[in-house]
Amino acid sequence: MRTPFNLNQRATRIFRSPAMIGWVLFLIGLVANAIVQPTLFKLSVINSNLGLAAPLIMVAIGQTAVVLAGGIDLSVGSIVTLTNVLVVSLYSFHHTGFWLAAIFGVAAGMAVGVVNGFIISVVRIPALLVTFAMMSIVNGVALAILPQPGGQIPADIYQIYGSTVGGLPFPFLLIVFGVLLWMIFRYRKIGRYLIAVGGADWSSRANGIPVTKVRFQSYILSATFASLAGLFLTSEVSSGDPLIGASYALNSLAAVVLGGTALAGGRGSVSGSAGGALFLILVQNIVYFANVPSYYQTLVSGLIVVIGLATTGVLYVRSGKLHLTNGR
Amino acid sequence: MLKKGLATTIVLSLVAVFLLAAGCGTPTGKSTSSSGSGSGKSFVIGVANGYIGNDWRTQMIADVQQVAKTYEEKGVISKLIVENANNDVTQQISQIQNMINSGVNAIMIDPVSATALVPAIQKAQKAGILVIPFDGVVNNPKVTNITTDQYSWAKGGAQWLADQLHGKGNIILMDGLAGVPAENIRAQAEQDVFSKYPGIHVLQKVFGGWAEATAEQKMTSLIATYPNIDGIYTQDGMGMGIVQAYIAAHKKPPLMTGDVTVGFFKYWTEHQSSGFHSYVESNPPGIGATALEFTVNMLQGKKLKSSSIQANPVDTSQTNTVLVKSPLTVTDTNLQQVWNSTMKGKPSSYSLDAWLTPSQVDAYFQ
Repeated sequence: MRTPFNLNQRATRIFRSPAMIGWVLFLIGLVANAIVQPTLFKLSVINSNLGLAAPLIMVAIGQTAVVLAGGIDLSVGSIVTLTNVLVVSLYSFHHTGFWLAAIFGVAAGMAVGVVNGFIISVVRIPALLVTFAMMSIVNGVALAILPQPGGQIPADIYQIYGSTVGGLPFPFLLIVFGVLLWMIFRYRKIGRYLIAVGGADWSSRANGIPVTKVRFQSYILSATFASLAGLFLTSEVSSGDPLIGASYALNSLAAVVLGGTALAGGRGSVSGSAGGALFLILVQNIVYFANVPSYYQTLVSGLIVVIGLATTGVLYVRSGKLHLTNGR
Repeated sequence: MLKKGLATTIVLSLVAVFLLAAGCGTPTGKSTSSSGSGSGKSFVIGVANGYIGNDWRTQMIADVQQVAKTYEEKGVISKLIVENANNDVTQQISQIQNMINSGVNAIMIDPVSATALVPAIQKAQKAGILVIPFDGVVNNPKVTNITTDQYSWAKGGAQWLADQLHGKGNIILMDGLAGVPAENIRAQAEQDVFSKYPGIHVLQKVFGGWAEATAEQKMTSLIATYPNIDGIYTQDGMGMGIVQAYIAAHKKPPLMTGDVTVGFFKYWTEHQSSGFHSYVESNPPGIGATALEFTVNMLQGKKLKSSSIQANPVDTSQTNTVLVKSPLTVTDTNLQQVWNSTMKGKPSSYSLDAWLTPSQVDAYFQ
């Protein structure tokens, strides 16, 4: 017995969609930031904020794919680092030309995803352990490739990254590109399968969904987005640093949860994660421009994030869709 | 209904935290941003510190704030903004960008990375902001780094040990951490000194990680291996660990270079009369306060002597660094006086500290 479709129901659905939480948080953050920083909407300021947000949004999109399918990827930060040091060393020290270096750097990052996906979905070792170990290994490889910060990329690359195209900040276009890239997957079989697998592993199997394959692919997706993030971050910093991606693992997870995606999988959205990522970037501005004393900044920004996470949790309880155990 | 109320409460409390944060002060966006040259102006200075998680860095920031306060009273500095990043490059970039957007006159940076901050620094310079990396260095020809001269620091202790041994004896080298820039520079200085003395024989060189516990562990096995240690050269952070190893082995420590901590100084003052001799050159947290003195001078339009600017110790192809000599050396002769005046009664984590006085800094300028 389905009730007929009506506008009211549709509005309820939008309000209750998981992405909503991420965007509400983002809007609250935006208003708070604008109050303490009157120059927030200057183009140059928007540009510098988006320059830092773009890599985090990319990593968060990939992380969302994995989390939706019921997994977790702690190696994304090390993949960001790997792409960064590879691109910079190939270009600066082996003179390959930038674009060849970029392709190679992204391919190497994707290869890490293939290994992750294989061990997790085929060998069936828990994702938390596999990706944690992979994080150490890849960070070690990055240190071997570039033992100390150095190298550079062509000046035009980072100038373009900080520029505007047709009045729009270039990093914004990159974010749009990332979202479009995700759409390609989302509205194919893989996108629907990701959610099904995360929501109910066994019934998915029973219904003929290739669970192993979908899991496998989710880690490749995550690694792909992380390596693209590495490429964007390299354009932002214009040099290589073997420790540069360290913060992305936890920040991407925070963005995913703030964006309303259930850590147990099966429910959530990429656009919510993007909102969550933007919120995290804004929090840093807010504590700065609100003149929070330096020793309390970590505390205050942490508190803001915790309250954000609590909001997400409570809204889940409200909508009756809190999956803590996912029945497994 | 109850749950709905809860959600509303949480959203409201989020808004409240923001407003509270906003209430902590006025936006810095409209602070007195003068164009930055000429004396008689009041400056806003930002300090972007890459890491605050140890005692040394905490003391460094406290020193900066202490010196800034005297300048605030004189009206030279109108505001000091301190930001700490958790060793995270992107967080430090964001903090530097916020400083640029709020119109500071100068940004002092203890960098997380020697290279990744360069685009952010160039943005600041384009906006007419003076950028001074300190403690660590940035590899960019257009900045002026202010850092302690690690080569001269290591050489001082090594030379003292060689002199005390009269150029003859078996020694242990307790170094820091292989591969770290400061270690490479210090190791070079050690080698340059000891290789001049054919009578000095290095039994073994070990890495204690600048950590007391690691140093103690390494030293314990060295004491068991070598009965004939005449002297120990150690870098900072490890002196007390070495002493502990000797205490545990029921032996008297030999001639050794020491450490800047209160713990080591206490041992030294108590055992000086029973024949324990040491040498300590401070690698002071005060480098931040020294860098602030340089920053103020440069904001007031003074120019550095060309002889003050030397090769970047990390990337020697660049000449962009002021190497500050350690301002305080402690030997048997001035031990008691230093202990009484600056160390006694301080918590055990406190490090021997000093920074250059305004007149000492003046000597670096034209």
